[in-house]
Amino acid sequence: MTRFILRRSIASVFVIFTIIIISLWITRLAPSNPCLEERQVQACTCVKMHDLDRPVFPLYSPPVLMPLDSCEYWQPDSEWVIIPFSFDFPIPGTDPLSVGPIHYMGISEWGNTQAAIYLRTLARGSLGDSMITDRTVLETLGAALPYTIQLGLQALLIALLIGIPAGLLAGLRQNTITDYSVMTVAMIGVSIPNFVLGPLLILLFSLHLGWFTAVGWYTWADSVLPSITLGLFYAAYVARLTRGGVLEVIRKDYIRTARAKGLSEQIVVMRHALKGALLPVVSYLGPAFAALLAGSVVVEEIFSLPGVGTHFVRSALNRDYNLVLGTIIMYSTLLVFLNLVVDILYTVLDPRVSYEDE
Amino acid sequence: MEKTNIGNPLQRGGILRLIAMAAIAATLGVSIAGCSGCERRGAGEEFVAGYNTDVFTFAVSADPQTLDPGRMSGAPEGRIAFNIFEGLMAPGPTTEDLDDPTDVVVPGVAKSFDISDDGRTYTFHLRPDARWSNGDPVTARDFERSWKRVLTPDFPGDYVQLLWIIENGEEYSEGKLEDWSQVGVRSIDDQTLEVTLKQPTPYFPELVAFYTFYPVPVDVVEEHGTRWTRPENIVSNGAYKLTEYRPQRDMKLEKNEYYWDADNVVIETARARIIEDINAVVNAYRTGDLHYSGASLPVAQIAALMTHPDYTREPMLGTYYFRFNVSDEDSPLADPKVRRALSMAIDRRSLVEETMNNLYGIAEGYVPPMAMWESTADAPEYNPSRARELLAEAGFEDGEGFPRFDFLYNVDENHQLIAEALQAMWERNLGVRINLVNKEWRTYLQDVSTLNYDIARAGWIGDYNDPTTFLQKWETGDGNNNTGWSDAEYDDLMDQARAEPDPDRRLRHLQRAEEILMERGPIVPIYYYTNNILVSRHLEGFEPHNRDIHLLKYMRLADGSELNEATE
Repeated sequence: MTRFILRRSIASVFVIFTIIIISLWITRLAPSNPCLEERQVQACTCVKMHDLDRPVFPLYSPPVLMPLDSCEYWQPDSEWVIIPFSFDFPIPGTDPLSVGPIHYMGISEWGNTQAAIYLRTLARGSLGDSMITDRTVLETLGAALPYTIQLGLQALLIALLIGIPAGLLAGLRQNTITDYSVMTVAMIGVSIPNFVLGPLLILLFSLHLGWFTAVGWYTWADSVLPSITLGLFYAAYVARLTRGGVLEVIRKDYIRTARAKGLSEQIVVMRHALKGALLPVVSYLGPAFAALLAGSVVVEEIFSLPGVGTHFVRSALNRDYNLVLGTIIMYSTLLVFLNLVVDILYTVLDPRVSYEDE
Repeated sequence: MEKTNIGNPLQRGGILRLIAMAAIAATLGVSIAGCSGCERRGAGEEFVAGYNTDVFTFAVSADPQTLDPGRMSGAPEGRIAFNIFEGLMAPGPTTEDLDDPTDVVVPGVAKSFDISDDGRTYTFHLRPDARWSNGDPVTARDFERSWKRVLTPDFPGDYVQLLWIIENGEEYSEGKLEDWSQVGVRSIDDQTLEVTLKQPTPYFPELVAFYTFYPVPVDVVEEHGTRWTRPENIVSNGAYKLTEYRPQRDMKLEKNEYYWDADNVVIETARARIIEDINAVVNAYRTGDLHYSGASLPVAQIAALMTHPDYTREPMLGTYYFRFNVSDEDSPLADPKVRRALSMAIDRRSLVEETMNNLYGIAEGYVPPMAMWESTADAPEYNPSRARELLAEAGFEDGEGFPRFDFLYNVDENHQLIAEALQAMWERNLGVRINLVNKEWRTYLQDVSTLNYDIARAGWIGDYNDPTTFLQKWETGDGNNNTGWSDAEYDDLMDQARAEPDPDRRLRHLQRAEEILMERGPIVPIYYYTNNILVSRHLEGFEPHNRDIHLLKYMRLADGSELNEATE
């Protein structure tokens, strides 16, 4: 087990490192940059401040960080090594359409690239400064993450509180009108996207009934509508999982035995069937929570919540490279970690699963 | 034993779903707006502003990028800075119907100023009772140090160039001059600041009412670095002070008891709520969480909101126009005749009155109306037959052989409507067909600034009430020109205007420059911006301002009981 965790942890670090490198590349490949404003003012200062005048990676072709071509660009001390052929391959930090000749930097200069600077920042335990605001990325995400996590947990709770009873009911009354209606509602729940549900809830509960505020998160009550919006899809899914679990378990021999012992239906269900029936739901919790965290982007936008999702969208639009990378690192670390936890939980919950003899 | 399928397929579904949702998220605004149309009950009864709030609450559209007045630009930042800081002069309550055009600004930290005969030297007399929020006096030296800070080479301020109007300011800022004593700013004593300008600048009093010229507590700045604007560190000199800032949520402004005019400041506490989505702002207003919507309302909702008693429209110092890329001499667009033909083929009146729901002002020229300025230039009249003739003269009879140009605009409902209308008008009136290309904001910016477009929509909001804020950018090589247009006569007129100490003659040069711009320039104006907002009818002292500057210190709220009765 320890070996498994260790191996997976090392793999995780590798995965996250790869994600960082690819993201570094992709952020710079996107057209435009964080220093470009409607009014062309201190763009060169901005470029220099954020080291955007340097190559992202040791690979290089002449900078086209337009319209900042009038700025003085950083130049390496040593000569560029030029590969005298060109191929159709976009080079980070340059115009994605520019094609060779490709320069690369002598190894002594690699430490001056944007990638190296960023990795050094990470090594110091920082995620760098936002390129748009006066706050550091850690501060920004640190302030937002609690909201996203709370929203995710509440949505998960709603999913379980609604989904499990509904699934039980449907499973125990299979092929009755109860089953059909519960499953129809669940089907609708799975089908309604939250960008439809959210505005509908706002319309009904905020604008017409006035029970909740429509915008922002200032008191706990403000988180109710967003949690429902986010949670209902998962409630529907949990209901379907539970129903499936019940149907599978209820025909098992040990349930027949329990019934034969003369136990009441209530005890049969609660003490014997439920445990087995919930196994798929429990194993779904990890991925569900991860999906809830990453999936809150839209809900946060609809309700203007102070969560991470809003930063995810805004930072990309602003080309706030450091904040984009910070958000990606945070999300990917969370997802990788949650997956690891789920895998470990599998072995605990289901003795048939083992990783030792691989 | 077989390895279990640990990668839950659902999770992949979740990510796919996420991508799909992100794609559709853009249509979100439309979906909410669509629903607002469903409930067309009598206005007024369901909109009750002010119910849930006991402090004055308004919306700002984003977290401020910085609260450092020397570095900032942008609307949310300004909304806060104008209230927590104060310059030598302060923005007046309104820009409309001024008896005296210079009333655009009123005395701030300076109680008066003198101008030398050549119009280049301003001597400001500071009030002795001006105080920082920590009780220290605001002195002329504070201004000198603050301006020096902004002019420091490589200072990352968005509006540094505004200070280049000061003699030798540009040279110092560019690092070409190291001796600060040669820069035209001198604090003579605690209450006297003498400023020498590069050229006569009639709008200088309005400039010093702008945040880049505000004093900052330089010692505090040096002590805390960029963190000096945090509520726990910030020291400011305006009518209000920032006491709380919760990112993505709100900022709390409280009355600064040391402010020299504190006796006349009525609103004790104000809350700026940070709401990015304008549809969410409207929702928050409807549920009674806001007194003032801040940003301009979405076009889609305007029809439903226009009858609302809190709906207000104020003229803005801004022009919506489109521009031609004239940098390629072989392009038909480089031919002024072609540009004029394209301009005469569009019906501004129908664009504004029908396409834009009559929300804006029809642009008769390029420089919008403002005090101190009478426009003499007319945008070409709508005249399809003359347009066809001009196009034929340029060698494209009935649009024959005219290249199919791209019309570039950034993703936005308004721009889309205008672009589609233009496309139809050009095809109908000239037989000219264009492609519509819309791009996300920063990509659009890049394309425009690299001249990677044919025709592009644009807008410009003036920084001060003087035509130069609109006309300067068309000078050869100006960083905001972005069309490749260059006209020697135009440049010459602008130079003459700059050197001219006589205000009337100066204006005449500028008028002539605008005429040239309309005759053969690279732009076609469409409308003058207006600001369409919701402001509680119980808010007094909120008057139209063409730069959307509304100081809290001029406002007061009718008291709570009155508020509830009145919203019946």
